[in-house]
Order: sequence, then C-alpha cells, then structure tokens
Amino acid sequence: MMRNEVFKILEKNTKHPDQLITSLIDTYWITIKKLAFTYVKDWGLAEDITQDVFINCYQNLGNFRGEASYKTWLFQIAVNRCRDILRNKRFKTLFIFDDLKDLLFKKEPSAEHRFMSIAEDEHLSQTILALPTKYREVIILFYYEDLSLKDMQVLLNLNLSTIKTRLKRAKALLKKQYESGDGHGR
Amino acid sequence: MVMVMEDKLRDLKKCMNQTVFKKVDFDREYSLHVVKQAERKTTKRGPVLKQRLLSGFSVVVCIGFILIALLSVTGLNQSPHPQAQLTALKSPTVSGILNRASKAEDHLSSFHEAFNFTISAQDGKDKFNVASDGTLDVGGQLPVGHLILHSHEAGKPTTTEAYVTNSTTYSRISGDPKWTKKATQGTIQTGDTKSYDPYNDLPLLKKHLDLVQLTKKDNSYVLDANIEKGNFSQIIKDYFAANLTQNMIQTFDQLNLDHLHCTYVFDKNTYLPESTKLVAKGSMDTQTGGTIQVTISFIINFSKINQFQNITIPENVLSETK
Repeated sequence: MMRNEVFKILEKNTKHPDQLITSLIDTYWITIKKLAFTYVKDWGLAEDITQDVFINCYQNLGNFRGEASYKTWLFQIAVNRCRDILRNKRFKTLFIFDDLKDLLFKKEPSAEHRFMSIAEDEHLSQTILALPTKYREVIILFYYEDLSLKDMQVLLNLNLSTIKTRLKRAKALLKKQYESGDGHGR
Repeated sequence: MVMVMEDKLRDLKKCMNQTVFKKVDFDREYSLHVVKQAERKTTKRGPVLKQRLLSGFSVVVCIGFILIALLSVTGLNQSPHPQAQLTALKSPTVSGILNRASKAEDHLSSFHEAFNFTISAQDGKDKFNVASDGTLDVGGQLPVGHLILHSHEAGKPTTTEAYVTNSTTYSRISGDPKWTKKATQGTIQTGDTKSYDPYNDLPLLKKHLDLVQLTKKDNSYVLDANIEKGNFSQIIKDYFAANLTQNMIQTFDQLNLDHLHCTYVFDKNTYLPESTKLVAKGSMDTQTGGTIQVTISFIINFSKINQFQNITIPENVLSETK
C-alpha cells in the first residue's frame, strides 16, 4: 500500500517520460515478468515479453489517459502479449519440444530433492501452472496479484459472471488435480 | 477440502514466492537500456547466435544454412546500427551474459565469418577426413549472404560460391563458370519447425546453466559447455536437424553422439560474438556390422561486425540466371 502511495506522488511530480519509465520499470518489472512466466512458463520468454511490455509502454506514454492505474495498464499490455504468443503456432510446437527436452533431461532426484519436490507449496505452485490458461490466469490474477473482480473484468475483457464462473471452475479443477497429484493438466 | 484449498490460495503469494518465483532475476541497468533504446526501430530477429554456429555443418555444398545467418541481420536499415555500449556486468554470470548476448543480436546489421568444418572418421586403422572452410559475408538490404566454400573431399577439392537471399540462391561450383539459380532451401516461416528457431538457441544453454562454465579472457567472456552422452543425443539431432538438408538428417540419424563440447566467446563490452567452436564425437554403425568413430569439428571466427556493407548480387549473376 505504502509503495502505491509513494508511486502516486512520484507520478504527479514526474513529468519527463524517461523518469517515469524508470520508475515504472523499478516498480513493476519483476511483477510483469512473474505474470508473463505464469502464461508462458519459460523465463527467457518471460523476460522478452517483459521488455516488449515496457517498450510498448514507453512508446505510448503520451497516449496514456490515466483512466486506469499504470499497473492495470501494464498488466493489460502483458496479458495481451502473452495471449498473442500462446496463440502462435510456433510457440505451440516449441512447447511440445520443450516438454520433450525436459523429459530427456530429467535426472534422478536426490532423496532430499524428492522430499522438497513433494512439499506442498511446490506441489500447489506446479499444479496451478499446469492448469489450462483460462483458469490459470484468473487464479493468478485474483489470488496472487490481488486484483479485484472489477479490475479483472477490464483486464481480461470478460464480463463479471464469466470471471466468477472461471474462478469457480478453476478452483474445482485445481482441487481435483492437487488431490490426485496430477500436475500435467492442460 | 474446499475450505483447505481456499486457505491455500489465500497464501498463494507466499507459496509461489518461495517456490516458482524464488529466483527471479532483474538486470536493472540492462533493462533500462533496452527499453530506452526502443525508439530505434529494429526488426527483432531473436537470438541467432547458435544458428551461425551451425552454419558450417555441411559436408557437401549446403547453402540453406545462410538463411539462418540472414535472420540475424536487420536488413531493412542499411545504416550501421550503433552498437549497444553496455557497461560490464559487475558480477558476470552465465545467465546474465546469455541474456545480453541474445539482445545484442538486435544490433547486428552485417558481419564476416571465417569458418572451418571437418569430419574425421576412423574405422580400425583406416582414417579419413572431410574438410570444408570458407567465408561468409552477410549484409545489405535484403539481406544477402555471400558464401565461398572450399571442400576437400577424397582428394578432390571444390570451391563453391553463392549469393543467398531468403528466397533465391545463386551458385556456381569450380570447374563450371556458369551461375545457376534455385529457390533457397528451407523456410524461415514461423510455425515451421525445420527452420531455425531462436528459442532453440541460447535458451537451451540457459536451461542447463549447470553445464556451462564462464571464464574471462582479456576483453572477452568465454562460455564452455560440455554435454555428455545419454539423453542429449536426441536433442543434438533435433537441434541440428533444423539446419540440415534431408540427406544430412538421414546421415545424422545413424550417428550416435557421445559428447559435445561448445565454446562461445563474446566481446565483453558489446556482447557480440567473437568466435564459436563446436566439437562433437560419436560413432556410426557400418553396413558390414562394424563401428566407425567420428569427430565433427566446427569453428567460426567473426569479424567486421557492423563495419560494412552493402552486399548486392552482381549484375552478371542476375543476368546469367534469368
């Protein structure tokens, strides 16, 4: 909360785009990168997406009318970019190839690692990441990013009832896969 | 159980920050630099380092690989691109260098490669070598690659010269002065897994950072990766397959790779490539039931980066192939 208040003051007093983009990068780069990762599940690609987001932001700072917060605006750019990439056929091919590489590179875990790998937090994180995109994004945006349903409505361009339904179904699917220990749902 | 799940989700931030997001990195200086430089419009080609590294893997005249090199050049802008002057990483890491090297490709508009490619095989006491070497210049508006390839096979040296664009290849072989034209093999269309894909490149190393060693040498960073046999064989074949003709793919199918040693050298200031060396060792089963030990070596030295150039296809080549 304090950070948001400080940032608002900064926004008011920061007129030069260079200063503003620096502030935005300092404040939101890691947030956007994490969000991108939850979509594409690849840190290298998440980094690329994050750069794209802030480049887009920087180039359009003059057009930003302030109807939403900078955070929402950045999230919108990020979500749209991630969705474009997920729709890309090449990415889908890569995704299959990446699975193959991960499978072939799988090493026998140590006893300690096995213990860690079944720790609840890890299991929950991986189960969430394995959800289909449309369920994963609502879980992440609502529970991790603490967005309100109204913000999610704007961000995802969905009506409120759709968001509520998706959240409900996401939790049901998550519960089912979490209990079964299945982290490979798509 | 629903309540328990709801409780878990309420703690999701803590949960994911301790697991999946535990090691999120943020190179602030570089990130600011990249974003603020964004006004200069470049066509993003993605990291293309390794595609150039593999460009010499061809025993016979195989010039489709030049497509790969062309991808690294922002051909629409003939003006030399100002190179990214990034300050040296205070605590250089493999991952940091790979990230910067990936992005440095956006500043590439032309370069010169001198490459050397050999295959050595030994079957008992019998040994034979096949070697190729040559140069590749890439630049110009299309862009255009100009290749000169010397092959030394079975005591019969041949020289091939070619001009390659994304669509057309013009070539001639020593002994025949006539130029011929054909559609460039392979495709760089997105969605075609046979074409070079930048995400098969440096991110492959990024995923296996434990295999990569970093050393510093004068004004360069040197990344060494040693990959041993086992699960990696299929990866190597799949990786190479994106850059080979059908004949070569079939040849590689018969090759059991045991070991791959890759060395990448980058300029410490610009993160552009200086040289690359790949050495692969393996064996092949012969039709007579024996086994041949094979070593494949591929070395590229880069130079004249962004120092030229307007490579165009000569008029006589165009007129001869009309």
